[in-house]
Amino acid sequence: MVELAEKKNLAAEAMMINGKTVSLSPGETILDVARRSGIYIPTLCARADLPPTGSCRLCIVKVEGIRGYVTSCTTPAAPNMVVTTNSDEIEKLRRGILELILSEHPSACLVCPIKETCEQFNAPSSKTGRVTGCNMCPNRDICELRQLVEYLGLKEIRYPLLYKDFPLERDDPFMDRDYNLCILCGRCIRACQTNLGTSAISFVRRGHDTKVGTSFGKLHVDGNCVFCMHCVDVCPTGALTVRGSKWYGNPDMETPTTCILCEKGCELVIDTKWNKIMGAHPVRDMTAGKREYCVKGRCCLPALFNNPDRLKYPAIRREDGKTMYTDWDNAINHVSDILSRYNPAEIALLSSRHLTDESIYVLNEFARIYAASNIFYIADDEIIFPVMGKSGEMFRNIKLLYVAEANALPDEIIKRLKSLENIIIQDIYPSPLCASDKVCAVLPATTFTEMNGTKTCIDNRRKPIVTAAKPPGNAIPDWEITSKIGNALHNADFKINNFRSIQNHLQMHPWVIASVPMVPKDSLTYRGFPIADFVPDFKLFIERRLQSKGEVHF
Amino acid sequence: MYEVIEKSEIFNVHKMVIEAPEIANSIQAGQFVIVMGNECSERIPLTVSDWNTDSGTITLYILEVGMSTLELARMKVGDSLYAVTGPLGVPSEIKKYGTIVFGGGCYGIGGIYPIAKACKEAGNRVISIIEARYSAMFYHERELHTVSDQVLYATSDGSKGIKGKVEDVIGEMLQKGVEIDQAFFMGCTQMLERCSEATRPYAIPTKVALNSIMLDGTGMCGACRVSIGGETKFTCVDGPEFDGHKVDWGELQQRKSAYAEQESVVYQFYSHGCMAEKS
Repeated sequence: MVELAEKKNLAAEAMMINGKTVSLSPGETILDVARRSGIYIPTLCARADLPPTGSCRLCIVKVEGIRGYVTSCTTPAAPNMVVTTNSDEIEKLRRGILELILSEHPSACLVCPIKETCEQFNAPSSKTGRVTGCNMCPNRDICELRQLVEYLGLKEIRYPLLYKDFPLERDDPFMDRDYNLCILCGRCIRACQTNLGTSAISFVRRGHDTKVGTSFGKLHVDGNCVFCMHCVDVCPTGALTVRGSKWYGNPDMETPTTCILCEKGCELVIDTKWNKIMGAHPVRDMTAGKREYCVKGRCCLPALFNNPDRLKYPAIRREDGKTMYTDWDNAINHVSDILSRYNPAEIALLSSRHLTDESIYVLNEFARIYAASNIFYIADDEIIFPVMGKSGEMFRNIKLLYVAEANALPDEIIKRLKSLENIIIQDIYPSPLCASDKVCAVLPATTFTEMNGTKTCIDNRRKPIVTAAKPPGNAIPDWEITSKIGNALHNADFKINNFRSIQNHLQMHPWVIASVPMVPKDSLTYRGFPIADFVPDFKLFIERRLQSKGEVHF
Repeated sequence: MYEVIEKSEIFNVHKMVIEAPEIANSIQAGQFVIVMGNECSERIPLTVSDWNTDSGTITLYILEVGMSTLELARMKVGDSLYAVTGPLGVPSEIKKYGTIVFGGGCYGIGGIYPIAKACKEAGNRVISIIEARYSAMFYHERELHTVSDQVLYATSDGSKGIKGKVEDVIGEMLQKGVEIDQAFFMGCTQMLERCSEATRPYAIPTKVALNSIMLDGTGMCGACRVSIGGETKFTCVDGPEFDGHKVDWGELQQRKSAYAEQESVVYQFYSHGCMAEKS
C-alpha cells in the first residue's frame, strides 16, 4: 500500500476512487467517502442514517491489494486506498446479485413485454391485497429496486420466482405487511433499534424461511411497537405500508409543516392530492437517531381532517328559531349584532390550546377588548384562566359564550352559567353543544393543515405552520373569523387588519402565548375531540394498548 | 342468507362459494350478480363463475382491487354477505359457432368458464387461452380443461406457455392459419382492448365482457353507460357482452377512473374490526 501511495503521490489523508483523489475523515467507510465526493455506488440495504450491515452486497467495489470484492458500506476507508467502483466485471456481479434478489420478489412486471403501456394504464397502481407485480404495488413510484433495475439495465431474470407464500399481515392498526415482497435487507430492524433503543421486530426463523417478525408472531400492537412507522419509511420495497396512505401514487404537493397535536411540534411533511391531505411522513433525509414520531402525527392526520362530517358552512339561528346556512358576511353581521347587545363583563371566551399562535392572539385580543379579558382554556378537564385575577367567579354574570372548542366544554360549566342566553361556536366538527337552543351561530374553522401561521412549541420555539390542503366548504382560519367579528364590532382598540399585523403584535406581546397551557405528549384529543372518534384504527390501538399494558404513551 | 360456504385465495384472487339457491336455480352463463359485503358497502357487480343447483350455491372469483373487494376478501367461512342481487345482465348467446376462442385474465379466468362450458356442450370446438404474471397464479385450471379442447397459457415471465399475453397467443395461432369463428374475452379493460385489436385485422367476431362502474344493475341509473359504435348502451341491461371492435375504450377507461379520489381516500377511514376475535 505504501508503495502504491508513493507511486501515485497521494496525500496522507487522501485516497483514490475511480482515479479521482478524494479526502477522507477518520471513521468513514468507502461508501461515505464516495457519497461525499459525489461518486454514486448503488446500494439497497445501506442508508446514511442507519448502521451498515453489508447484507445486500450491491455496493461491492474493488480495492487494490485486497482479494475479491468488498462491500463499500462496511469497509472503513483508509489513507492511500485505491478503489474502483465501476467496471464491467463489477456491473455483471451486481446484475447477478440483483437477479437473485428479484428471484424472491414478485417482479414479473419488470420484465413484462407490455411494461410501459401497462404502467400508464395502471396509474396509480391498482389497490390489491396481495402484491403480484409492480403495477399492483403501492410502492411502485418510489421503489428502490426498480431504480436499481433501471440503473443496472437489467432486462431479464433468469431464475423462476420463488414465492414465499407468507400470509398477509393486515390485522394490526394502521400497518399492512406483505413479507412476500421483503428482500431481507434488514433496514426496518435497524431503524427500529435506532429509534426505540430496543427492537419490536427482528429476523425470525432460519435459512430460506427467514423473515422479519415479532417475537412469537404476536401482533405489533401487542408487542412493543409504537407505530412510529420508521420501518415503513426506510423499507425499499412495498412490504411495509401505512394502510390509510398507500394508494394515491405520487402526491401533487409535499408540504413541510409542523404537527401541533401536542407540545412537541414535530417537523412533518404532508402529502397532498385532490387538495386533500393523503399522508404525513417525516422529512426524507432526516437521520434516524433524531426522530421520535408518534402514531398520532404519522398516521392519524388524514382521517382526522378529511372526515366528511367536518363543519363546512357558517350556520346561524334565525329569530324564528330555525337554523340556516349562510355566507360569511351574513354570519358575521348576525354574530356581531348579538355580541353588541351585551356588556364586556357579560361575555366569556373559551379558547383552545390547539390553535396557532396567531389565532390564540386574536382570540385573546378579542377577549381583552370585547369581553373584559374573560378568557379561559380547558386543559385535561381543568379550567385554566390565563389572565391574572380571573377565576370561576366570572361565570356568574356571563350571558354570552364564544367557544372555540365546543366539545371540551364540560356540562358543569354550562350548568354554572345560570344567566347564559347565547352561545357562538367556532369549531371544526359538530359537537353535542351545537344542538343547544342557546347556540346562535356555528362557524366553520380550519385545521392546522389548512392554514399558514406559527406555533410556539416546547422550549419556546416558534415553528412554521404551512397550508397543505384545501379547507372543506367555506371554512376559514380561526384568526380570520375572530378578527372579522372584532372588526365588525367597531372598537378602535381592536387593531387587527391582516395576518402581518397579528405577527407584529405577537412579536411585541410574547407573554400572550406564554400564558397558554401546553398540550401534553400523551394527549388523546384534538381541539376537544377524541382523535379515536374520527380515526377507527387509533381507537383499536388505544383499546388494545390499554388492555395489554394498562396505559398509552406516545 | 348469502353465507360464505367456501373461501380461498390464489394470488389475490379470492374464491367465494356463497349460498344463494334462487340465483343458482335461475342463472345462465354470462350473467352476473351485484353484491354488498355489509350494510354500508358499495354495490359491486361480479361475474358468476359456477353454480350448483343441488347445493344452492354460486361461485365467485373476486380480484381484490379496492375497498369493497377488500371487505369481501377479508370475509371468512360462516360470514354472510349483506346482499346478493341477481342474476343480472343478458345471458351469453350459446349456439354453434364452430371454433371459439376464450381469452381470460385475472378474474376472467374463472369468468369464462361457464360460457366455455355452455359452448362446449353446444358442440363447439373450444380453445381457452389464459394469462397471468406467473404460472403459479393460474386457478380453476382443471375445470377449464374439462370444457376446453385445448388450454393455452401466456405468462409475463415465461414460466408457463409463451412469454407474453393472450393476444400474443392469438397472433401466433392466426399466423399459423388456425380458423377462429368467434372470440370471447374477459379480464381487465386494458386486456380486452389489446385482445380486440388483435382480432380486428382478421375480422374475427369478438365479444368482450365489459366491467364499467355500476350502481343498480337494472338500467335505472345509467352509471354503467358505454359507447358501442357511437351508441350509448348500458352494461347492466344491454351487456355485459359487447362487440369488442366497436367499444370506445378511451371513454370507458376515463369513466372507470372517475372516482379515483374517493377510492383512495376511503382507505383512511377503514379499520379491520376483527382484532378482538383474534385474541
